[in-house]
Amino acid sequence: MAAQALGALEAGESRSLENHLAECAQCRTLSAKLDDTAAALAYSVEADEPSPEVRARILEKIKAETRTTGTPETGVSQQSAPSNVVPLTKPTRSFFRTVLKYGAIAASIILAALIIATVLLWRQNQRMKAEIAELNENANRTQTELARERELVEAVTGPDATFLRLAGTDAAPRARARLAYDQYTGRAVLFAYDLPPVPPGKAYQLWFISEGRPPMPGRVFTTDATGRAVMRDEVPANGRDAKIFAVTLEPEGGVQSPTGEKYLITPAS
Amino acid sequence: MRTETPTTPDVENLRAIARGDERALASVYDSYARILFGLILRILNDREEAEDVLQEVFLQVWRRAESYDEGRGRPFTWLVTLARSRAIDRLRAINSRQRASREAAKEVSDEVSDAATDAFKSEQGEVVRRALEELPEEQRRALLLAYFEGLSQSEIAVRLGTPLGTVKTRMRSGLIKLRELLGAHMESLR
Repeated sequence: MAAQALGALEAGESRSLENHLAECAQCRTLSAKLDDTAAALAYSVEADEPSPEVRARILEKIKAETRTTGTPETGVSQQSAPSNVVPLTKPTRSFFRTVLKYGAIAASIILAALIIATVLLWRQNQRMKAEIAELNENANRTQTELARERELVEAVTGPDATFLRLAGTDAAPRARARLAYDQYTGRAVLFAYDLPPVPPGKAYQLWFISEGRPPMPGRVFTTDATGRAVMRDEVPANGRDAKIFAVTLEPEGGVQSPTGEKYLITPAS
Repeated sequence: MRTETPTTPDVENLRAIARGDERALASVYDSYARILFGLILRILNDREEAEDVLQEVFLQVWRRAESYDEGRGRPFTWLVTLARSRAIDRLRAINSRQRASREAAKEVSDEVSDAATDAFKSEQGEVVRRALEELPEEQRRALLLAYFEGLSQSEIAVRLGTPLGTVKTRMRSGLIKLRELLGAHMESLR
């Protein structure tokens, strides 16, 4: 115990003594007395004045610590200390410190989580927007296609629709086509098969031919790789009495009167 | 300043410090900084290091006041024990940094130790000095080597060329004798 009081015990010995003191009140009392005696040795040394900056530094540091760990209540100093203020206040301080410490940690975690969540939500939002735009576009396209199909169907199935057959000429013996035509609305749809591939700079053009008048130009079209084509047209009012329909090969922009060779034509009736 | 009084001003101050009262810390500093600084300086023999350790000690008092247990000793004992152990820790750190000059430092330290035991200014110092002088030389030497040099019992045995058992006996007898000699004066020593 004497060695302990003088700080001369090795760590292991010191622990054994502490364990014993925890159980033995008698030794605890003796130990406390020896500690006091050893502390009295400090008086054997001449007291000395540290520089005033040390005091200032210490007070400044504890102020800084107080600021960062919250505002502890102002306690009692030497003269004014009432003797019944007891250690119940001790846990308060450490409680606040603990709350502040874990509060700060929790706040950091929550902030980080919020940032991550925000980024994730923003990215998801961007993705959703892109998807919506694509869906809208798809919907528009579908609607347009649907409207076109409907027109097509109407043109073909209207009460006044007639079907005409066009046959290939010597220039395209295998080619053939059907033309759905409503002479009251002027709507016409041409379904062509096995037309020869269109040379560069050229296109097929449809003609409406009425007796005694020059052929009236219809729209130009090209075929797919298999020689097929579906082409919608609207015959002007003054050409709706046409009885003959023909397809010629023309410059790709179309012409006002036929210049090229006929590829398809309705048989003269 | 009576130990049988349930709460001394020192105890009150430590409690106030535990509650975060800066004025209480300043008050404890004003009461004990000089004696603690003297002790630390005695151990380290370097003003700059000693001031740094003194600052460390009071910051530790600030942070650990709530761990002070009246049942285990008086505030003065707690403060001195804290200061001494911080100073000894620093001394060991310095020694391991400056292994080469360690022997020289010890010589100086021993001289200072003798000089210090002769130079008491305060009344309490006078009391302790007289008590120390009444101890047999070998007991006094063992006490001072442990207390101011931070040597363990086995290190003291090596230093003094004495068997470990003998050192233990001397330290024990020395401290108990010192306690008897200080006797009634202990109360005035806070």
